[in-house]
Amino acid sequence: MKVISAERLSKAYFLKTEGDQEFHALKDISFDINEGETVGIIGHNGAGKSTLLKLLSGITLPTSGEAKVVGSFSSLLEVGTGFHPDLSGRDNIFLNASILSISRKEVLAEMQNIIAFSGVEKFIDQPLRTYSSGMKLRLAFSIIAHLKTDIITLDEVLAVGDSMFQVKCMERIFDFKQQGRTILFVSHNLSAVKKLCERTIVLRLGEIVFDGPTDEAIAFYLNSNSLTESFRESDFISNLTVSSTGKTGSITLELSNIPSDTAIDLGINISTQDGMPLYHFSNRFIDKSLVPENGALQLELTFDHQLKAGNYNVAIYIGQDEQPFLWQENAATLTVAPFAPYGFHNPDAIQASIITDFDINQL
Amino acid sequence: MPAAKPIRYIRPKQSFSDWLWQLIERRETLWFFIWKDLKVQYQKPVFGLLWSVFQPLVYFGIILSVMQFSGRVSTISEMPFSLYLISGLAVWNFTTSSILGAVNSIQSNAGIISKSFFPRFYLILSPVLKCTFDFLIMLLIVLGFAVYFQQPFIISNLGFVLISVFIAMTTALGWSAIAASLVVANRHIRHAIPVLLYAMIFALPVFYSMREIGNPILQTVYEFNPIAGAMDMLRSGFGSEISVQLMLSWLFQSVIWLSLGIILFRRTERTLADNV
Repeated sequence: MKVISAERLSKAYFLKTEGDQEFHALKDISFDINEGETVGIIGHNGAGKSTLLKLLSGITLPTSGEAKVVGSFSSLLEVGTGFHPDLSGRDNIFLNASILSISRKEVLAEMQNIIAFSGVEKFIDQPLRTYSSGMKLRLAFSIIAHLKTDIITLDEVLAVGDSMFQVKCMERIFDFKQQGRTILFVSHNLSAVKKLCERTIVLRLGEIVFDGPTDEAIAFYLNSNSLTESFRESDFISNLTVSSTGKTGSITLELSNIPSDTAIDLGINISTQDGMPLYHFSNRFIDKSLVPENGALQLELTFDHQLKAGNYNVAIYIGQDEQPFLWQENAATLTVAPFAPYGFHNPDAIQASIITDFDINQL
Repeated sequence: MPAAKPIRYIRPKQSFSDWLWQLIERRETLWFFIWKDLKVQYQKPVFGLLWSVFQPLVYFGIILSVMQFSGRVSTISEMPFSLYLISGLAVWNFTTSSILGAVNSIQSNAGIISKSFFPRFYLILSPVLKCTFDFLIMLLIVLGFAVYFQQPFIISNLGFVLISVFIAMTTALGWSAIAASLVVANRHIRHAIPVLLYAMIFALPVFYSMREIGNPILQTVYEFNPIAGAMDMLRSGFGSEISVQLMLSWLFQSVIWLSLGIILFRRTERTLADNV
């Protein structure tokens, strides 16, 4: 039975700053979801994943199109929505549950379980402002864990908390799946998507570019990455490719329109998507001189890295005669494929970076 | 046989009946919103009570002192001036705190607006209903004044008092929805609202009676402001006379304001999550 059917859903925003320009967050999205299916939704930041969940939850209305949702629905875009610091933990359970449209009766029936599961029994009648952030998170999650709705949508709910918490979350989501609930799972954590979902939808710039088996979807998503859609056209850089096979990364680019043929300096920065710098490469580190011919130059950078699975931003710097003339942030995205030897009990969060060049011996 | 599953349609526009139905269906969330505000305020009941009547009582003290010191003689003949003043301030305070509460509610709930769904009109309804609770407490104080001044309370006029509360609530709800919509459309308007509300006190029968002044402009302003009606109808409980024709007009005006408020807010709420 179809529990969600969306037909040509679109959402446009009007950018007031740029002369009422329309920005399409979602374009003609159509899909059906059957009862009991667990469907992953992946895509870059800004691909429209969150907008899609917001439309399905009714938080915002579509510009055009229609969707039909059959069955009770709860959407978890955040843990602990509506928590009030001056109310007790117990009161906040009611408040949060009511915002998630769980009735008071259901909460009363599950109250003891929710409190026991949260592990904050002792403080349950204390105001929430006295809780540590970990306690708040556990309380919020405990409410979610006792949800009884037919359809559950999750948007990066797992991206908070420590790795223990994330493991607990994943286990609970697997329980939901086992109970035959329908789950829509939005995540950047490809290994979690792979474990949880049989089917995955790939969104790109507001459109569904792939909808099918998860393995194929992830492969499609990763392949589409090396052709960098996020690359902003530049007069100087063309044919930029960024790829990573195993632990070896490679970046190639062509430079043109360089003002003169004196040696240039190339700097490449790799940082996390939150903007934390990780690696910096410069031709000066290895005393290589890069000299353009007729203002043009082809370059290839290969490097071994110890990055965990995920997406990284690549920034490019070019200077000449000690003067910078190009500094391109977010020039491209480097995607490192999942590497999960422990299976699902190996959330990415426990890896800062990976070292495979070491030895373990049994003594 | 399991119960029939609810079916929900997601469309660019929601029909008024669906909107109304959702408002009723999710009422538990509304109670929780009001309960939250009341619980936070009344955690220490003495302070809770004090805050609900603090503002009107302070204004009462100030206006009364100013009148005394400046030697102004009130033009109120139908009842003791203190009773006249406190009943006016009760309604005025209810109106202003409802509107400011609704404007604040949109802003302070921005987080849950963009992260969860509930009928958006609750953002307006819950502060207004919470203020109604404070208003009812304030009415007890007004009653206390009437007892102190040995003013007869006319039981047969209790119906007028109830209609007064109805007009005040309906108008406050309508104005709150309009004010909140305007602030969402342009958040700079937020700064103008408190000023307008405080200025409004001079266009209302709070410390002078328009009827007794007899200025035609003031009289028109009076007749076309349902909040002025709510004030004088409240006073009818203590012997002031009220014209039934005016009452019907105010009743009609308040319903018009509420309808306008709902129409405007329904336009606003469609993209509220994108704009807060």
